[in-house]
Amino acid sequence: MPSPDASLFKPELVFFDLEADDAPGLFDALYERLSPMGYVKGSWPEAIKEREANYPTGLLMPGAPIAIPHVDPEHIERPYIAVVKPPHPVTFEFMAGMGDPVAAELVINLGITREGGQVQVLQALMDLFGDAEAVADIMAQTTGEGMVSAIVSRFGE
Amino acid sequence: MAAKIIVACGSGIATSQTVANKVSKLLKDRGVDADVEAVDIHSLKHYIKSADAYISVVKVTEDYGIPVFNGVAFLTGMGQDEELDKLIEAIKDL
Repeated sequence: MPSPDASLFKPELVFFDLEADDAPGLFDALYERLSPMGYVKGSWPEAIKEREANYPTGLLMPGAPIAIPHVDPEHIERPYIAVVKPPHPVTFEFMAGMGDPVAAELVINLGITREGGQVQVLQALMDLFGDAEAVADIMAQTTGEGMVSAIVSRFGE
Repeated sequence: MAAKIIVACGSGIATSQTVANKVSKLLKDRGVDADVEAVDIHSLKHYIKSADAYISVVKVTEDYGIPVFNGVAFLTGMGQDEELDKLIEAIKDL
């Protein structure tokens, strides 16, 4: 399998200050950041809210409860991966209804395009979040640079 | 004949593709011959007619008349070995 495209992770796409009471609120707050940088289209907020409501993405990984919301490529301007560590956990329904809702401590929004290497990235992230020690390091990060490094440096291990 | 396995998620390009790649590799490692294909949920009804097994990463509310497996296990790796055993058991006699 080709290596995941680490360039999709950028310090400018790591957010520690997005306050939200629920997932739709988090998407609104994230849109306010992503839209000016030209990553998403105007249709993105409604599209991702509907998608998350119909096909939820909360996961209870060994190291932390997380969510991996994403939406169809038509709502994406250019590929990206945003990493959100909200000040307070945000509730996401469990993927495929396989468990109770999770209080997500980290939200990774995959800006998917058909050409992008997101499959490799998603697999690499799942491998990473299966490793409790790696997750502890990721969850301890307080800067965009630190977060990108904590994730990307472990790809391909 | 190779078993045909369908994986579905909302778009057919992120979660389902990741799971399809993973399952394909796991089956190959175990010497099981199978075609694993990722589709979007709206095309599922079309593809499922010719499939032998369905791996879902969305909530399953319908009875498709073929065995259904938990895609989240393959995505996260948690409970994966048990789910793989069940999948192989279901398709090995095809």
